[in-house]
Amino acid sequence: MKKLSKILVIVMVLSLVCCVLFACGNKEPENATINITIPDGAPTLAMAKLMKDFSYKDYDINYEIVSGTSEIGAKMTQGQTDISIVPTNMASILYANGLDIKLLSSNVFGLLYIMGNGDVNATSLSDMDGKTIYCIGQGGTPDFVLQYLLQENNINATIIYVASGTDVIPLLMTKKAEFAVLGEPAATMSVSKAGAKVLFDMQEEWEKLTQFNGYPQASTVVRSEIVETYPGFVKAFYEAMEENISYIENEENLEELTNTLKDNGSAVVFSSTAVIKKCNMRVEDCATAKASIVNYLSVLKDFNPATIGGELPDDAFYYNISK
Amino acid sequence: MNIVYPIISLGLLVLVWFLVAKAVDIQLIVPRVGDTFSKLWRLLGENSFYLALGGTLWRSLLSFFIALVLAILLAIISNFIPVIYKLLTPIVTIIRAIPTMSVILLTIIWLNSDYSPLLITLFIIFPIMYSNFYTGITSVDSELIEMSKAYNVRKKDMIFSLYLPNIAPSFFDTLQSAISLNVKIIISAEVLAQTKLSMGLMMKLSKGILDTSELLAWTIVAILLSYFLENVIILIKKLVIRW
Repeated sequence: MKKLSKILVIVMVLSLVCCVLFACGNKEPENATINITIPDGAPTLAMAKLMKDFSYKDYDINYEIVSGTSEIGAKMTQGQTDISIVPTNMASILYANGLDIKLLSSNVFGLLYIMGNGDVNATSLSDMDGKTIYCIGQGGTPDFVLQYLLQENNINATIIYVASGTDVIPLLMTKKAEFAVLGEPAATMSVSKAGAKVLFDMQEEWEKLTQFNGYPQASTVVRSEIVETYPGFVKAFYEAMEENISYIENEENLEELTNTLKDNGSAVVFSSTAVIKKCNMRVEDCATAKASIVNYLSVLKDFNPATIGGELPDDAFYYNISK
Repeated sequence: MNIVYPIISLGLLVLVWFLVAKAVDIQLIVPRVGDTFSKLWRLLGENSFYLALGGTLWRSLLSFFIALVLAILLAIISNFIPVIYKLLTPIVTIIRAIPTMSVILLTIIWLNSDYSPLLITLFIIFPIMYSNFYTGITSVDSELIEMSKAYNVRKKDMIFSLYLPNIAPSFFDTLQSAISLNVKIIISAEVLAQTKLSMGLMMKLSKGILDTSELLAWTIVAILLSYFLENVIILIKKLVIRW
C-alpha cells in the first residue's frame, strides 16, 4: 500500500507540474466558448453586426437576449455568461458587490427624451416649473438624470413614476400627462401612437450642465477571467463593436439588422434608422470615457449611493484596450 | 406545547437558508441570514418602512372588506332568489378564470396606480368568497330549515340559532385563506403598478439596486403581515363562536 500511495503522489505532482507549465505557456487557447448576454432594447443594437458575422479563430460565440437586467448579475457571478452590456451604474453595483469584472467600453450615451402631449407647448426647461412630469425608471438613471436636470436648472416639478414607457403612452394620448420622460424606442412610439412631441433632448441638457457629450448610460463589462485568458478575442470583439456602429447607422442595413435581432430573440423593434441614431450609440474605450463615467456615477451617487453600489469603482474596474 | 413544533421547523428552515447562503456565497443570489436580518432591523428604523407597510395594510384591508361585503350580500340574495344565482354564476366563472397577470396589466391601464391594486384583489378574491359563502348557506341542512318553519320559529331566531352557527366555521375558514391570498396579490399588483407608499414598490426598488437581502427582508415582513392578519381572523372566529 505504501508503494502504491507513493506512486500516486508522484503521478499527482507530475500532472500538477504539467498543468502549471501548460498554464504558464500563456498562449491564448485555440478553442473557447464565449457567452454573451444582452438585455433587450438599445444594447442589442450594439451587437447587431456581431451576431451576424463576428468570428474569432474557432471560438463558439453564443448571444443571448434577455428581457431586463436582473438575471445578468446572477449569471455573471456564476460564470454562466462572460460579456454583457449593462447600465453603467449596475456594473458599478456588481463590482462593488465583489463581482470580478472589468469595464471594456461605454456604448450607449443616453437615449432619454422629455416628451409633451399633443397640446403642450414648451420651449425651455423652465416651462415645466410647477408642473407634473411622468418618469420611468424610479431609483435609476432616468429618475436621477431628470432630477439632476431639474435641480441644476432650479425647476420645481412633481415627478410621478411609472413602471415603463408603455404605461405612460396612454396617459399622453388622453392628455392626462403633460410631460413624460421616455427612452427610445418608446419615445418615437409615443409620437406616432399618442401624438406626443419631443420637447427636450436630455442628453443635450446634460451637456449644457456638464460639458460631457451625453452620459454613459450603458457599458460593456467582461469577466476578468475572460480578459486575462483571451486578450486577443477581447480586442477583436472591441473592434467589431466599433465597426458595428457605422453598420447600424446605415439605413440600408435596417431590415437586415431587424431580422438578425428578431432571430436572436429580441422583442423590441427599432422602426427606423433615425430612431437608432437617437440612441446615441458609440463605442468609447476606458481611456476616453472614464472622465464621463466618473462624472455620471458621481451625480447618481449624490442622489443615492446605493445606485452605484456605495462607492465609485477603483481603477482596477477599468480595462484599457491597448491600441 | 403548540409552540415547540413551529419553532423547530422554523429553526430548520433558517438553518437550511444559512447553509445554502454559505455554500453559494453570492450575496446577489442567496443573501446571508445575518445580512437580511440586519437589513430588516435597519428598515424598522426608517419612516418609509412604516409608510409602505401602512399603505399595503390599508389597501389589503380595504379590498378585503369590499370583496367580503359584496360576497356576503350576493351570496345571501342568490340563496333566496335562484335567478340571481343563475345569472351570477357564469360571470363569476369568467372572473375566476381570468389569469391574475391579465387582471393586473389591464387594471393598470384602466385605473391609476393607487387604485388598481384594489380592483385586482376584488377580481381574484370575490369569486372565491362568493362561491364559498353560497355553498355555506345552501349546505345548511334543509330538513332543519323545514323543521324550523314547521315549528314557526321566528325569523330572527332562525338566523341566529340555525344559519349563523352552521355557516360560521366555513365562513371563517374562507376568510383565513382569503386574507393571505389578498396580501400576496396586493403586493404583486403594487410591484407592477408602482403604487406610492407600498411594500410592492419597496421590493421593486430593492431589486433595482440589486439588493437581494433587502428584498428578502421585505418578503419576511410580508410573511409576518399575512400571519398577523390570519391570526386576527382566528381570534375573531374564536370570539364569535363562543358567543
